[in-house]
Amino acid sequence: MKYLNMFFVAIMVIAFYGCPSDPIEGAGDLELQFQAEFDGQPFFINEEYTFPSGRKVRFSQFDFFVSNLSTRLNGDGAGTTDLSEVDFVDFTGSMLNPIDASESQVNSINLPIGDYENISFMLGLSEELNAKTPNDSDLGESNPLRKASHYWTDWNGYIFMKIQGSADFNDDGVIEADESFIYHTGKTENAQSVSLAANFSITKDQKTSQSLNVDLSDVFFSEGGEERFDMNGIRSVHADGTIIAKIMEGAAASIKMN
Amino acid sequence: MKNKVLLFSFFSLLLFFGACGPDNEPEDEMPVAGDLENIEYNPQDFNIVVPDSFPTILGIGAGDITVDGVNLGRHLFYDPILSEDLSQSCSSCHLPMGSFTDNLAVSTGIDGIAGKRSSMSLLNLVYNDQALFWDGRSATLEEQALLPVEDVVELHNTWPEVIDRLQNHDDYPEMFRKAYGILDRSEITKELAADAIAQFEKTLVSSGKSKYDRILRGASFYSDDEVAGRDMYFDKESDDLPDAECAHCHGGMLFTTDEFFNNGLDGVQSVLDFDDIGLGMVTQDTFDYGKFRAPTLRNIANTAPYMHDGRFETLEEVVDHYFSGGHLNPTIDPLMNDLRAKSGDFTEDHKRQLIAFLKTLNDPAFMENPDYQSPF
Repeated sequence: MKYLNMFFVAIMVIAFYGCPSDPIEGAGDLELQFQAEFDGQPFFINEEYTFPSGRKVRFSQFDFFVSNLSTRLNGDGAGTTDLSEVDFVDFTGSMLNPIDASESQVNSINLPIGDYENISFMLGLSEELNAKTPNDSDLGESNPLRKASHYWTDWNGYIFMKIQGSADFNDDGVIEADESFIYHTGKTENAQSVSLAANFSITKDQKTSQSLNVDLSDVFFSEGGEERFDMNGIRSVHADGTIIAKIMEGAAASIKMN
Repeated sequence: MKNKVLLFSFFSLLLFFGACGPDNEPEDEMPVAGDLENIEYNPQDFNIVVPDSFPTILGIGAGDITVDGVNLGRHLFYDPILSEDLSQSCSSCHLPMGSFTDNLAVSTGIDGIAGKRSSMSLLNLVYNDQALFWDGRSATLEEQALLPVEDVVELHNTWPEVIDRLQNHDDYPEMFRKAYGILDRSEITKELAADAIAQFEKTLVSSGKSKYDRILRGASFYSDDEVAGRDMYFDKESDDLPDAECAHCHGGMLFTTDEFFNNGLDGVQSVLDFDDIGLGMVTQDTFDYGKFRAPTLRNIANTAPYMHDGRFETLEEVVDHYFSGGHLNPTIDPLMNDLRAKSGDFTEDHKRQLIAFLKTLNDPAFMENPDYQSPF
């Protein structure tokens, strides 16, 4: 009887660990690209664009954190696969990180092969990640959470998104030096969950590219062409929770699967 | 017989004066191959001690910074052998008591020619040794260390001359051997010299004994002025103080984001009107004209005068500038416009309070650290 019990235990172990019900045969790479647009057109820093209201605008900085990226295979009960814990999507670039195009890339390797139906992530940082600081010793050299430029001491957390630039606020047709805006968002309660239907396949030992578009016009204007908040009246935000929430909601709504 | 005695005396004198030249005259002969290989080479990693609250230093591998490398770099840093006329060294413009600045608006080289920018503090470079100088033109600290030697407004020398001096020096060949394991003095190069100087500079880290750091550890307390200044500096919400917006560019434990900004120093109509285009010279992007690196504000009270051209002599002048929002120009940072819009909110009390907070960043223990002083 003792040996019979051991046999059943062994069978159970094999059933749960040795013979998965959906065996995965191989893996491939996913290259996830965030692409910035303005009103459906490719976006570039310091280029001049026009809002639906007719106001000219130019952006000098646009970047944001995304966290807990995952994707889900097709099929009932199919599990999710983590893509990345945290990434910094940077459309501004810098001397040390020049950016030539309106793209920022998240690379993930060794995804199980198959057809995928969903990509989800937090726009901003999860509570756990937002509790870290750039000084934390467990952050690796390339971890974007080491960015002191995106940590806000008074929040005890990170700046999730920076959008800076200038706009023709006096509507005289010219963007002047004093017509600038600066919007910095943060705080865990303003992070946005984004879940997007996807339709891509991972094939063995192949790289698959999937684009996510974020449209800066949609960040500030709803689909109906309504300005989400009065930019002219509120040109600087890094404390007003109401406006921060509107910007983050607008940004989340602006992200579409390509 | 008399003639023989005279001839003997003459040749004796020739031998006496000919054979005994000056001891310090450099030899022109090529070094003997392997002349250093009998000197022990036993590199030990240098442990850079950082305060507990500081970020972990990353990107430095085993053997990158060694005890002998730092010792060599420290000697080179303070030795005027690098300059053409043996009158100046790196330390001429980067003195410990100025938090490794020279406390001059602009520095003057060996020929008495003034440069156009103020010397920057070398504090905590180990955390960001890239895009150095006010305009970011040096990709690395090692690359930066090569430049002052041949700059005509600095040390105005040539590297071949410096290397010749080092190869024929009484002490440096042995020090290079101990630092880099070279086999003979002909292997001394400008790249090794610059690397050693960079190694020393990377050890120049805050002591962690400033009042700010002690308060973080619970070992001290802010005065009323200091706490008000801190709240303005970090834009603390829910108080009656105006936001001074400092932390956007001078945030984090290092009190710099190491980014480049136009802080409204010059009111010009066109980007072509800037006297000094700063970062724009490097990137050739007109949107970068007039931008300069944000320096660390740790020890800021000890690094006067201020800005890239040393135009402000006191912290009071600096704060007045920021509280006013500066001067409009085409690439001015949005934060300066934000400050100008609320410039009427700032008072003399606010200025005093903000400066009181800035002085909590004073770190005399760093400047007095014996390991950072001249070895000569």
